[in-house]
Amino acid sequence: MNRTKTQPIFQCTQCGADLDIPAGAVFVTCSHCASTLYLDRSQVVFHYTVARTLDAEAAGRTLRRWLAGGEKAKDLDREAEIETPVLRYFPLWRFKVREGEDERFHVEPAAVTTLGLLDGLPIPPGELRCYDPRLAPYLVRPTVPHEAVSRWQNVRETALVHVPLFFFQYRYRGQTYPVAVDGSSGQVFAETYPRRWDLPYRGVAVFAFALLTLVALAAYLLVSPGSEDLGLVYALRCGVQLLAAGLLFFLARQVARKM
Amino acid sequence: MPEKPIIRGLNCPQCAGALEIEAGRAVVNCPFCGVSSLLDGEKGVLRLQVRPTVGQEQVEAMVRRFFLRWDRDPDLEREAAIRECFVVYVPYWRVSMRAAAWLAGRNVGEDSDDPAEKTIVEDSVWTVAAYNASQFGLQELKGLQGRELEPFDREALRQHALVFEPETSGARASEQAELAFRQAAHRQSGVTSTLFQRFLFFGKRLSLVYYPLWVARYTFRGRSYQVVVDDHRVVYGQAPGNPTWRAAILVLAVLVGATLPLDFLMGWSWMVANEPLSLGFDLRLVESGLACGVYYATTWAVAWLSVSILLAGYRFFRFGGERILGARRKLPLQALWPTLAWGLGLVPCMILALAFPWRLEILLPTYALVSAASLGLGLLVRRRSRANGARPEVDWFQQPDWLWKAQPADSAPDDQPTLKPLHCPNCQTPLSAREGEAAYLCQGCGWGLELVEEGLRRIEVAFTESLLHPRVEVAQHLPFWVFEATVQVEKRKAVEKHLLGKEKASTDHGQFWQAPRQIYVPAFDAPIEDLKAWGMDLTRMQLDLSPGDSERLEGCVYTEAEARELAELIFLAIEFDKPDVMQEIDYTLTLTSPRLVVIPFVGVSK
Repeated sequence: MNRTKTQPIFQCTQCGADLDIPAGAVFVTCSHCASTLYLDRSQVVFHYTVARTLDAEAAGRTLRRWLAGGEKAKDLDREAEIETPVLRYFPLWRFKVREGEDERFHVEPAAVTTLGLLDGLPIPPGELRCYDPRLAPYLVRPTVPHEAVSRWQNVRETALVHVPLFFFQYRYRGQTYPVAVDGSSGQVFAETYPRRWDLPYRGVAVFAFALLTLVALAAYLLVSPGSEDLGLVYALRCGVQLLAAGLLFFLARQVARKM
Repeated sequence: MPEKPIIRGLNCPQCAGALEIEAGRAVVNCPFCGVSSLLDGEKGVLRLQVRPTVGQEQVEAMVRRFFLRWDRDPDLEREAAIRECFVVYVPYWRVSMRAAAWLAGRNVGEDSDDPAEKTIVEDSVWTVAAYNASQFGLQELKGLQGRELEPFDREALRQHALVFEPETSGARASEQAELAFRQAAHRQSGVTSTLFQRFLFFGKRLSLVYYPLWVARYTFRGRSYQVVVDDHRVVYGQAPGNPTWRAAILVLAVLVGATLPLDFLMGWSWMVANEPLSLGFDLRLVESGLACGVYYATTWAVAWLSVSILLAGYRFFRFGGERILGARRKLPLQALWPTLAWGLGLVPCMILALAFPWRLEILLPTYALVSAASLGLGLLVRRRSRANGARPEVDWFQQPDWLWKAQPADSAPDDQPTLKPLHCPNCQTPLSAREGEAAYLCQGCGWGLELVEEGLRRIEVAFTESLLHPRVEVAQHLPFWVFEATVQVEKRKAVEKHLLGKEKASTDHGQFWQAPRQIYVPAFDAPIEDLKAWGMDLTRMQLDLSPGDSERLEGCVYTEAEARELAELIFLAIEFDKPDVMQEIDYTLTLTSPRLVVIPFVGVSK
């Protein structure tokens, strides 16, 4: 089948100069003779990479921040042994489809992956650059042909977009967890991670609620109906509640700091 | 079928000179031979850019100020190090359009039911993110009016910034813009029960605006955080939280959440049973069903308030370790289901409380049943399976580079752009056209020509004697589309309001339109309010102007098709401008024999 044909660059029809095709534009201006050219994007498959803005070190720090998030295990960012990441450009098919007057983008993975965390990966916001052959060692080869995933009529543009991802693995309490950090926007993709133990937080909250309710209730139960000492009892109750609140504050702060 | 070329030069069809074609424009003028050409087919979208107003130093100062907010870690200011700071140009769809809305009906309030009508005409601009803005915090641009828009120059921007590409559809943005106008019109109108509504949109222009945002990344205790700055404010930012405030807010929330319901119950016991500070009061002492209803309603309100305060305080305490400013938190509808249903459970309970005062044996099971059912439904909705089909594993790829797709030629789109030279269909004189203008006079034979998508079309153009009008300050020639309008008003219901508030059916049933009328539609560019006022003025006057000297035709920006929409705008504006309050109108507007009339106006000022 006449499926692929490698053509490194387009030439100007007027002067034959090599053309640089920017992403998105309908018209291309030749930098040599200033002619305007039209490129029928429906007949070409483009190959882009999303520009990387993070290096491995910065991606590691981004991962640390993510590991310290409120839902992760309390000592995860301190205890996790993070291995050196592997930078890979993961392929996605991007289809621009005309539906009546509307134009929509559809994204499908172009490689099979055992990592569930990449399912539904969107193309992160970033600069699309023409593919640079120097990136070849870092590419994940596409294994899914676009014909297999394209189920739309009127496809106006098909592009293979390689997204830079730092694949990390970290060990925590004998288990290994995979995680990917998007090298363009710093978004973190993970399927599973050790979750934080909620009990200390809930314990503090429930204890605080019980204590303060009890203080208020005791004041009402202690005073006899029709008592004259209403104001005094009320003031006393507020005082005890504030005292209890102060003690609870130190307890809660300790939990917030340590957990 | 001949194969369509993948890349094709777009040169002047007259002299083959190289042309500079800006995406989104329909008319191209050749700098060599002066002939104008019409770009037929795919035109692309006009791209514009906005210049940044702040520099790196100011951005860093703003990020430093961002560190100082009360809910941030107190050591952030001292220990955080800003590692990098760069500009990204992110795309926004900009939809500018002229929109008009007429709404008529009733304004039903608690103790009022008044007739109401509202006309809204505005030149609206709607700007919405064309990329995933969740990590950038700026979904819509509101203050773009004051910023200068320049032509987009990708290469120049790439020297110092990253330029993102749009990932969403422009047509969708355009639909959103219409919807936003409709919703805003309904909100503003004061018509709560609508009997008649009509929306008109025209002159819609879609463009892409590349907007600069500063992205700053800083590190704190070995972790990396991102802050996004727009103009003079932080629109998105991640920061470590402050443990002292987390604890304080939890304790404060619990203090209020625990004490409020108790004090409330005690207050009721004192008010209803007159037994101060006793838990053992007997509510059944009160027999009034109304008091019971009020008791239930206020108890529910206090319960909701207390639970909300408790939950909010707990959430801040539990998840306040990282503060995120400006993130669009999408609360999934599924998550809201149980809460919503719980609230709805209040309605049958209130009704039952009025019917059976203090019958807790009826009220409590009802509420428990409704809550359980709604909770079950909520959980059911939440459980959404994400089915992902297996994909074939085919290893056919070689080194991917620019890839050519083998595709049957007949599936290539049939709207490849072509340039058509604009010549008068009568005398073949080349036409000098200007972007945005819709009608011209042929310099050779004097034919009136309208520029439509298919090319040039003959129209009737008339020139009249001059006219003095208070709207015109300096002498000028203004073009108007004039239609012979026959209006069949099938139904017109309107009311007149008297001082005492009594309503009377209006006696005006549209006499003005009983005879065929000429509708004057301004064809020149002006704010929509002015177009409306001009059209109403001249249509009401029903001018009978004598023919004048043939002059030049300039500044006609509306095609006949657009003018037809504007004619309806003028008809409705006249109807809604009458002193009565419109309720309903049903009409058929027939517009015939369109012609373009150029009226020379004499200026009133010196």
